[in-house]
Amino acid sequence: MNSPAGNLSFTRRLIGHYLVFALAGLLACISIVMVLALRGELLDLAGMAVVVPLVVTIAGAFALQRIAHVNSKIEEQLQRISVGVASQAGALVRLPDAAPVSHGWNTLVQRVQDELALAALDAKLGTFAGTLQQQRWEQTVNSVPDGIIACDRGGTVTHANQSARQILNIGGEAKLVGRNLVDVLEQRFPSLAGPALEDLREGAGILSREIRQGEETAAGVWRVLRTPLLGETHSVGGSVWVLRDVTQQKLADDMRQQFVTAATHELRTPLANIAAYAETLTSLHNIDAEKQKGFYNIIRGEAIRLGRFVDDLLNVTRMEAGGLSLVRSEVEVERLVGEITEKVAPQSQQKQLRFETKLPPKLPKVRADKDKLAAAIVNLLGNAIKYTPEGGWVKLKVEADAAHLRFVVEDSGIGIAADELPKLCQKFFRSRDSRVQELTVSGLGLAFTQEVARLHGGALSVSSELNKGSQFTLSLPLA
Amino acid sequence: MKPAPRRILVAEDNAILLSVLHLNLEDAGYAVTVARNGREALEYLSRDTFDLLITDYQMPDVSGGDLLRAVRETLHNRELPIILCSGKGLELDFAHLRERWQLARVFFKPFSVREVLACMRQLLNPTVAPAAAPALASG
Repeated sequence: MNSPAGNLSFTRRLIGHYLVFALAGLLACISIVMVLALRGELLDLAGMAVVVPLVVTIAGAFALQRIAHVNSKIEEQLQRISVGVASQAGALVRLPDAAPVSHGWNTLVQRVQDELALAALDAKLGTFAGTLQQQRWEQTVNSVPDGIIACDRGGTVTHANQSARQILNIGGEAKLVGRNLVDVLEQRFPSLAGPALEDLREGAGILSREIRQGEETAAGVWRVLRTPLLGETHSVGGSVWVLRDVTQQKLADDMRQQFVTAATHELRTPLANIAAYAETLTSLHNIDAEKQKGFYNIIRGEAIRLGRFVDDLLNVTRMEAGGLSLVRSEVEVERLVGEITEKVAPQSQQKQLRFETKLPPKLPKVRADKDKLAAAIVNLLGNAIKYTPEGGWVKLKVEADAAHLRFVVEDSGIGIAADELPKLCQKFFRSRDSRVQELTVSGLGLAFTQEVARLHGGALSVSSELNKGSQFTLSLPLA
Repeated sequence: MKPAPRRILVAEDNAILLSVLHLNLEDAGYAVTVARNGREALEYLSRDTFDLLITDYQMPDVSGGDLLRAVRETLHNRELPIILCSGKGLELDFAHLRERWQLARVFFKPFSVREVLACMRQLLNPTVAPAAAPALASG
């Protein structure tokens, strides 16, 4: 109801009606007085008859307004609410009167104002929380080492995280957003071409591709994964791409492959010998008894070689898995050297080598894993004997200073070429020296020895001169 | 008159295996020359003629692969039948190697000496080839 009358306050309408009736009464009164006056009656009182009711009426109107003042204010504000202005807290005003109605109204206004203030605070907090959540999400996506990129249906980049920009060698997100991702990939990875590139360009379905930076694995290998970006109605709204650096994983795979290849070769050689000799023993009938015995010995020797290789392999596998652990105890070095000497003596006698041990008069005790340390030194001595021609010498020296205990294995053997020294402790390393090609080597012994030294907190060092001899030093800390 | 024995060159760096191959081949009536590596084998090949070459793949100095290339490309010997005995597994593309160097046969270690001998007989005397390949034998 928006009629003009409807917009006037209740009090005004009340006063208005009061005035209409009052004026009507007044007019009636005046008319009567006038009639009486015309007849010559009450002439002196005629003026008074007009003025007095008029004054009374006006005074009544004022009094009425004073009474209705509070209601009027309330009504005004309620009307403002009805036209929607009061949605702001300031639109409702407290009334100064002490009247109970004013008090009630003021309480109501306070409540409404409190509610509105709370709602405003809530809205502000909501916006802040939303921003925080957004920031948190961005931080999360930017902390992922994988490159994450979102593209629209046309393959144009809409979002990209920091890793993606790093992988693609692009500075800011701005430089990547808006570009066609497959074009960027093509530019970044020159090896990406032909059908592999077309596959990436076509469609938005799940796709996984490996991209190599160059021929060598170490140059870099990336795995690119594309998945459809699903919209609210599960319709495809573009694609999400993940770029993962798998170089280390690929290198580990290559190493494993090389390990398997080398191990297979190491297994095949003695197996080929065993098979050939066993077959010869069964198929050739004119072999004399002495030769037969030699053949059986070869088979036995090759079987032992296989067994030793399997042992080495197991040690290295344990070592790789971090499973090679030490059981330390107090080791008496003199006794340890005695036991080691007993183990290698037959081998050195067989090759008619001079084997010497040299120990200082007083040796400190060392906390070490006796078995593994012995195996490591036997390994070094075994190598020295193996690579020293008949008539030469092999020495085991023990040296000690305040901080270290050193086992030095020296020989007058064939030595190691300078370029091969750094590769010596690699698994399955085999020298190119033609003099050692027929020797039985697993290529695992030095890798094991080095690991034993490392586990003890020590180190293995090598010095060698071709055709003069080699010196291996296993050093252990005494502390 | 008894025909002269067929001349076989065996290149193998594994001395133990080389010695038993030598014994078996001589027992089968072949004239055997042994080489301890690819370089030695190449020297023999450039000096003498052989009816068949048996070679290892992985050898020091001149490897089996280098030897194959030298025989076919440097010495231009395209007729010499070659048997490859390898200690390597499937990591080498043997189908490709066979085609490229026209290898008669590839054996993987451990192999059967008897099978190698049977293969040699077939290569050197196509007339006694097994019934499975008569067309080849008559052609």
